[in-house]
This record gives sequence, C-alpha cells and structure tokens, in this order.
Amino acid sequence: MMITPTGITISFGGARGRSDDSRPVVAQIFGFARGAEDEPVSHEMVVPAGETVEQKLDEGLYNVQLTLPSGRILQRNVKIGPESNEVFHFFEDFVPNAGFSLQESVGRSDEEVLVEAAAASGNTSLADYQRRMRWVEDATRTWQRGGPVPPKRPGVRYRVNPDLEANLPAPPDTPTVRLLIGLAPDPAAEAPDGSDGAFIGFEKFHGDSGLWRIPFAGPEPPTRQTRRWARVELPDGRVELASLPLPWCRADDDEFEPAELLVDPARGEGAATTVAVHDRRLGGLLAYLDRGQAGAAGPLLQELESDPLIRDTILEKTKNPLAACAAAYVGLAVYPPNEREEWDVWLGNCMTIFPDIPDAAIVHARRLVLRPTSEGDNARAADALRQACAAGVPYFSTGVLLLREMLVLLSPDHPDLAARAVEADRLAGRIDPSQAFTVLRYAPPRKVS
Amino acid sequence: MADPALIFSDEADRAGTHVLLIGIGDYPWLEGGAKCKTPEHHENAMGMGQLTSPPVSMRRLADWFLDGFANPDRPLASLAMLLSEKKAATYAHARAPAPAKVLPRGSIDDVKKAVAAWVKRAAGRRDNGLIFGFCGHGVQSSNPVLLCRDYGSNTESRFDGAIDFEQFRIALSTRQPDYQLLLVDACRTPDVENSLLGQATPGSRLIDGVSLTTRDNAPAMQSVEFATSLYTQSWGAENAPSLFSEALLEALASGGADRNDQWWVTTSQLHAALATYMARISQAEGLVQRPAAGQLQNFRISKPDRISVPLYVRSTEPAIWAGPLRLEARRGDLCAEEMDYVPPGDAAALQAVSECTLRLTNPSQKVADVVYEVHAKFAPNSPFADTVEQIIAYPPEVTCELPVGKRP
Repeated sequence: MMITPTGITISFGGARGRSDDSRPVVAQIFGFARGAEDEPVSHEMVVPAGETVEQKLDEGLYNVQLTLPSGRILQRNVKIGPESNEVFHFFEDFVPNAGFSLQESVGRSDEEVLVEAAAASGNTSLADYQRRMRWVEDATRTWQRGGPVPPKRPGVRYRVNPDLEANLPAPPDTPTVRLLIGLAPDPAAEAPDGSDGAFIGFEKFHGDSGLWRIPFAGPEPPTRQTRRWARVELPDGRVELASLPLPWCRADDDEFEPAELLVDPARGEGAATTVAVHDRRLGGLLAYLDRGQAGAAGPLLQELESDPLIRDTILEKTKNPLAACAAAYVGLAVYPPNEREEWDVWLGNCMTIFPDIPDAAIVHARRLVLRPTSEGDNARAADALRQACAAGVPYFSTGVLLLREMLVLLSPDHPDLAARAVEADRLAGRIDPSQAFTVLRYAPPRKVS
Repeated sequence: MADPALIFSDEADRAGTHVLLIGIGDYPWLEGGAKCKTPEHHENAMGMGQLTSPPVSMRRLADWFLDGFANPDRPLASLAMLLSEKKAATYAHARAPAPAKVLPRGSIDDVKKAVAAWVKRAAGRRDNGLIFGFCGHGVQSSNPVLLCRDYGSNTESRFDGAIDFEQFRIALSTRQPDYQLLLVDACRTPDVENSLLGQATPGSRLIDGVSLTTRDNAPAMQSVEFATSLYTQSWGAENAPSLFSEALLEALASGGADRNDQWWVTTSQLHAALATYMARISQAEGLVQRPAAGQLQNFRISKPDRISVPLYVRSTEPAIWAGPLRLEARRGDLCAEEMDYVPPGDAAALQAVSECTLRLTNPSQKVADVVYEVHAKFAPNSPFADTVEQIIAYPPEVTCELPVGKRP
C-alpha cells in the first residue's frame, strides 16, 4: 500500500510463516521532526492483526517500536523525507512455533486447524496410519506382480502373508464426545461416567484428533440445570470434561455461535481438549485468555480506553454474560489495581443477575479485593466467593485460579473460606491454565490385574 | 546479623529494598548427587540432575544489586542469599562482611528461615520493596513447584523439600511492603501433573497469609516474572549464568528503562526487555524459551545512571560480511563506539554471520545524546561503497539496517 508523503504504514504479520495470530499489537512511534528536535514527537496506536495502520509524520527521524503479545519489542528506525512512503511489515522472526491456539484459529478451514494443531503437538497418528496403509498397498502390488522378491542373503526367508487384505491395519482409535447437561463435577471425585449423555457427531478427523461444533441457541442465560459440558473420552481411557461457553451470543451481529471443540490426544502437556468460540469482536480478548495471559494485554490499555470494548461488553452483559465475564477478567488484569473504572459497579449487578455463573461472582470479588473502598468490601468479596463456590466450576480457567487465590487471601479473616480454598486448590489441580475455558482432566481408570 | 543468609544490611531509617536470592545447583538426592542411591531416589529424580548455573546466576545478580542497583526512593536495604553448591558456599564482595561467611545451602528449612527473616526485615514500612529470586529445578503441578536442595530426601514425601510458589506468592501479598517483585528461573514442565490431578499442589508455602486488614484491605502490588512459559523448560549453560539471568541482568541494568517513566526500569518495561532479549539469546542457542509474566503490576525498580543499548548492525546486502569492514557509531563529532569486523576463517562460520553488535551508552536521553550515525567503511579493495545510516538508540535494543551499494 502506498501512502501519502511524510508518513508510514505499519502492519504485523505474526510469526513468520504462520497466519493464526489474531491478537493486535501496539506500535509506538517516537522521534524528532526536522527543525523541532527539542520537542519529541510521540504516537501510540494499535495495529489489529492482519491490518495496516497509517501514521502521518513530519520530516525527521523516528524510532518505531512494536510491542508483541509476548511482550517482545521489535523496533526499526525510519527517516522521513519529503516524499517518504515507508511501509513496515513486522514479523516475529524468532521463536517461530509459539504453540497452537484454537481460539486464534477459529474461522479457518477444519483441515487447516487440525493439521496445524497436529504439527504443534507432534501428532503423527494420521501419518503413521497412512504409512502402514501404503506398506500394505505396496506389498499387495508386489504380490500381484508375481510373488516376493528373492532374499539377497541365503537363509533369509521372505515371510509371506497369504491374506494381505486381512492384514490391513485398523484406523487409529479416536476420542468420543458426549454432551452432559446440568452436570456439577466434584473435583475430588472420579470422572462422571457420562453414559446418560448423548454422543455428539464430529465435524472432521485428522488421524486421531478431531473437531466438534456444539450449537446451542437458548435465549436464556445458562443456569446450573442448563449448563453444558462435553465429556471427552480419549483412546487411552483418560476423560476430560470441557465446560462449554453456551449460549454464546456474538457481539457484532447477535447471532448464536457454537462452541468449537478440538481434541488432540497427542498433546503432551495440559489438556487434550481445547474449547473456543468464533467471535470477531471479542476474539482478541479471548485469545489473550487462551494463552493464560490476560495481563499480556496490558500494552493495549490505551486502545481499550478509546475503543471501550471491555466497558461495552460488560454493559451489555444481559446479551452475553459469559462474554462480560471474559471482558472483566482482562480488564481487571490490565487496569492498574488502584484505578476505578466505570464498569466496577456493573460487576456487582452481573453477579446478582446471573447467580448461576460463578465467574460473575468471581470478577465482582476480584474487583472488591483489588480496589476496596471501605472496610466492609472484603466481607462482601467473601460473600461473593461463597456464591461462586455454590454456583459450581467457573467457566474460565482464569476464574478457577482467581477463585483459589482470593479464597486463600481472605481466609485469615473469614475462616470458613479455608475449606473452600482447599477444594479450589484441588479443582485448580485438574485444569489446564493455558486455556481460556475450563477443561477438567481425569486420569484413566486403574487397571485391576 | 543473626540471619546467616544476610550478606548486606543498611539499617538507615528510610524506605528500602530487601532482596533474597536462592540459587540451588547441588541436589544431593537427584541424579548424580552424593545421596542419590536407592531406586526410590532415582524414581523421584524424574531425570533431574545436578546444575551449575543457578549459583553462578545468583552470584551475578547479587553483584548487580550491590554495584548497580540504584533506587533513590528505596535504596538497597538488605541482601540475603542461599546457595547450594557441591561445597558450602561463601560470597565475597566489598560491601559484604569480611571474611566471607558460609551461606545457608538452601534446604527447605534454610529457605523457610531466610524467608521469615527477610519478610520481617521488610515489614517495618509499607513503602519498602521486596525482591525474591529463585534459580534451580522446578516442575509444574497446577502451581509452579520450586525444588530446594533437599528435594527427594524423604522418599515417602519427596515434595517436603519443595516450595508451592503460588501459595507462597499469595501469602506474601498479604504482608507489609507494597512493592514485591518475584523472579523465578526454573522449568515449568508438567512432569508430575498427571499423577497429581485433582490434588492440592505439593510443597511448602513458606509463610502464612495474614489478615488483609493489616494492609488497608488490599493485597500488595506484585510483579512476577517466570523465566519460561507454562509447560516449558528453562535453560542454563554449565558454570555460566542461565539464559534468563543473562537477559535479566541486561534488562535490570538499563534495558528495561521506561521512556514514559523518566527512564526508570519499571516492572512492565522489564518484562518487555526480558521478552526481547530472551528471543535473541534463546534463538542463538537453538532453543525456545519465552519469559512469562505471572502478575504484571507496574512499579519502579531501579533508575540507571547511564542507559546502554545493544546495537545490531545488519545489511540489505549479506555479502558485506565476507570482507573486513569498520563500523563506527558517531554521536555528533564524537565516535562513541567502533569495531573492526574481520570475517571468520571457515565458510560455515561466515555463513552464520548476519549482523554485528555494538554497545551504545547514551550520556543522557536528550536528542543530541540518542541520535547516532552508523558508518560502515569498507576496505579499499571491497566492491562495496562506504555507507551511513542514522538511528535513534533507545532501549531495549536497536537495529540498524545498512543500505549498501556497490562502488562505481
């Protein structure tokens, strides 16, 4: 893209060779216009993923710094002349494989998502299967051409299987997913057997990893009775319970969005199951939660103030209370703790309106703990935490961690919270903190010999 | 000095910064350790062995706190250190008591006592600061678990010698000082996670939390930097600082200086500098290691006298590295930094050259002191013409892409 004289255009393409980083980055331009060197020029702007941003600059020398979601700073110097039309396309040169994020990949083709997830986890189940299939096909062709090739070494016998068809390898075992409604998992107990849950059909498989889409267009906010879980049984017997963020009403067009579920049994750390939702407006915020780093959105603070995404999402909580909680988690992580926000008080309303969403009580308690306005605020936070515990397992991983932290923090003054803190610690021991949405993990049942 | 870990103390009645550093390299009950003898010891070791990098890293960090740390609001008030090496460790420094005393070796009991003394020293004033540094083995089990020297000594309860870092952090946030910086350089691999699903994280919290009413009902400001992201490894070379420590020392010294906060090294800019330096350092080693911020509340750490910026000189024409050249970074009429580049002898090493590094130290951050001209002067028989490029040198690092043309 050409630009008008005396300006620059900036874009960020994520990690080189990858196109799935949906998080915006922050650009800061600092420098000196010719003839006015004693008055440094400073600009800050957000560069949305995959988009270009223009900035007019007077003739002079400037330093452009891009703060990436990882915190890393990329910088270049630029000299703006009378007809400069510099276009800066930044890439993350180092660390090309930053891990796979389903939240950052939603919207792409199923095949692309599955292939990239498999590449990130090292899942070779499809390649292994195809290799075995090719071996059988090759052996069949050899046999049909007139029998086996004679051995080169004397005494070595060619082992011939007369029934090659019968020797075809079985396809890899695949996970199964059932939908459970109204479940209240106990972190101390074994995995629920799920036999009363309905099987959910998959969208696509790639080897033993698969994608599911689970729709729900219920107009009412979720309650304990309507809350949806996916019970995932992995080929090795492990069970995972994924909390489904349903119903999810998209911010930009009020359409209901299904929960997307990716199950990759080869994922070596964390949970094999990942949950995401496709929401163009909130995708960036959810992507931060999906990396387990809500605080990493800190550099976007200025942009969040000019485009009040967090404020608006919390304000419109009745449309999508789960989105309001996600926005609040990010807001509480990035805004200075001693700063009061317009939406602080709305979090209390959110808890009252949605008593069955534990995260609504957790964000309210978090706000009270971080920004106490009176001596009674911690008692109110303790009440909110009791409500959160009663409402069940938080929808968001970060909610589980904050619940535990605040129960521990407040238990010296509210001793009844100590036992709940132990429960929350056990719950935290089942989740994958690198994911946005809560997935509980259970070990495979022990074999009795 | 009743605390055996204490190596520096300033008793002045003013706000100060209290530092505790723990470097665990010798693990007697892990692979290669003097007491790793039974099958249970080997099993509990989970492949972990002896380290040499943590004590080196913590010594270097202690040197920096005694020589380079400059915080006029909260100067260094105390520095304590625990080191686990093959032999009992001492630490000598001009500002430390002489003769150098033997330091505690970092068993869980040593750590508990040192933490208690450190917290007590800092408790006198709300406006004090705390800095905690740990370098050694670690695993992830819901929370980060940091392994002390005696991890595995009790084969029936191996995590008796370990710290539940998250519970420690939460308890610490209920304590007095308002500003708490925690630096954790340890692996966060999920070695034990699957075997502990649904269980409380093992390890000691070291201290109890107290009522938040002692802190006007709000927890302390905390900033937590992990050397590596969740479920990944942290690396260090033999008998040298860890990769994270290298980056940390550079970032603390001035790389994390914040343009928007009068060039103080702040916690948020420290994270940016760490992420920037670690990308380069780990890439050079062929590794992937990304630091991660656990909590990121912004406050000031140190105000460097001088700001030093690494300058990476590259070129649009990679062939320039095949011949000798002279690089100069000029500030006005002054040659601030120079180097004579000589290409390496063997072809493989030459192929790996893509940039040269100079270090620029700005006398101040005013315009005249941060704008440099980078000159490249080629040998008379070089096909390339001399060239110059103007740059602004701000931390954490600056790159200069030289536009190179052929001689007519």
